[in-house]
Amino acid sequence: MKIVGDRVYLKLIFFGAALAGKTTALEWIFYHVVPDEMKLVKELRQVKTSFGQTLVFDFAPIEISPNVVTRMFSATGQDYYRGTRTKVLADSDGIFMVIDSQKKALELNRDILQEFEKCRKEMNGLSDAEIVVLYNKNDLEEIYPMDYLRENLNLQSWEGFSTCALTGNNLEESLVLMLKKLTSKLQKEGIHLG
Amino acid sequence: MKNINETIRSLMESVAGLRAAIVIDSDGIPIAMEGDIEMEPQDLGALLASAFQCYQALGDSLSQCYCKLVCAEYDGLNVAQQMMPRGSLILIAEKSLPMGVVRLTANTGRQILTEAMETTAEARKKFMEKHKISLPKNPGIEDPTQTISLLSFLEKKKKG
Repeated sequence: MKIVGDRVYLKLIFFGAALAGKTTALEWIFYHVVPDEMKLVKELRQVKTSFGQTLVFDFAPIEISPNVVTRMFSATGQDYYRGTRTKVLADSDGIFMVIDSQKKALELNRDILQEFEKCRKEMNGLSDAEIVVLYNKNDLEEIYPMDYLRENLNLQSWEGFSTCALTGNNLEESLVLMLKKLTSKLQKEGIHLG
Repeated sequence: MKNINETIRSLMESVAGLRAAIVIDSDGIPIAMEGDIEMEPQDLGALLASAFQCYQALGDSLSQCYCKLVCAEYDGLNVAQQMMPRGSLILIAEKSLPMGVVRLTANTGRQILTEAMETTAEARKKFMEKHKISLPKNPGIEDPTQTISLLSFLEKKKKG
């Protein structure tokens, strides 16, 4: 959380393994959930590789309340660019942990969660960030159920939803849960939203 | 002492050919901006901060602990991004203004702004301690019923 002038800035990150659906989830929320009058930019800012994957980040600033701006980023999932991935995580207030529910992605999820845990220990303030898990790709057939992934990946301490970023299934609910958590955090600091 | 806005305004006035001057914090949040740029400050700040972080990461890998300045030459513009404590100063200049002058101006600006940023940090710290970061009323909104948060909007939408 940062204050610049009369505005509070929150930072919200979509984090997860490559091709888990981080950018798709952010795109869905930005284009289908957030009303236009709360968007500070008309289009998502995307810094992509030549082959269409996120290079540094995707970025969308939205004004969730007068004087409170949430800057939403999706970090790159490509391991080749992991040097910039951890930079994007710094000073996050909220993190959507995007899990690829496909059976073949189980170890990729485990690896990224290990990296995330390492970051939480090493980066100041990250351990205080609110976390909501998106068990994504629930529209596919070869997937593990949410309960199995939660236990197998040791994610029991974080609330989550079974989601499909392509259709937006449960993404609005996930955002509402995250906003409630952030609102509660702000209220503890004496900031009240409309 | 000049504040941040005054400082970058006087930089713009003192060097012909500067098109814009921007101060962002370390995360790319725009703090001050003067001049003519057809970009959203939020968007510009995020790009500039991440670009600088990439150069910083490269420096770390090359055993360099501190990236001071990044310069970019485009077809029609020269851009210099000067590192400062807790942020950076970016100057965008016409191509006719030599890069050396842009760099020198950025360096001069840094020295003045470093002091201003420290003052701002101290003022902000005192403000936060005093008010537990309660915010001033938004002067543009007189009717509180007109203000609605995204959370309220989504909850009302769900209820129909």
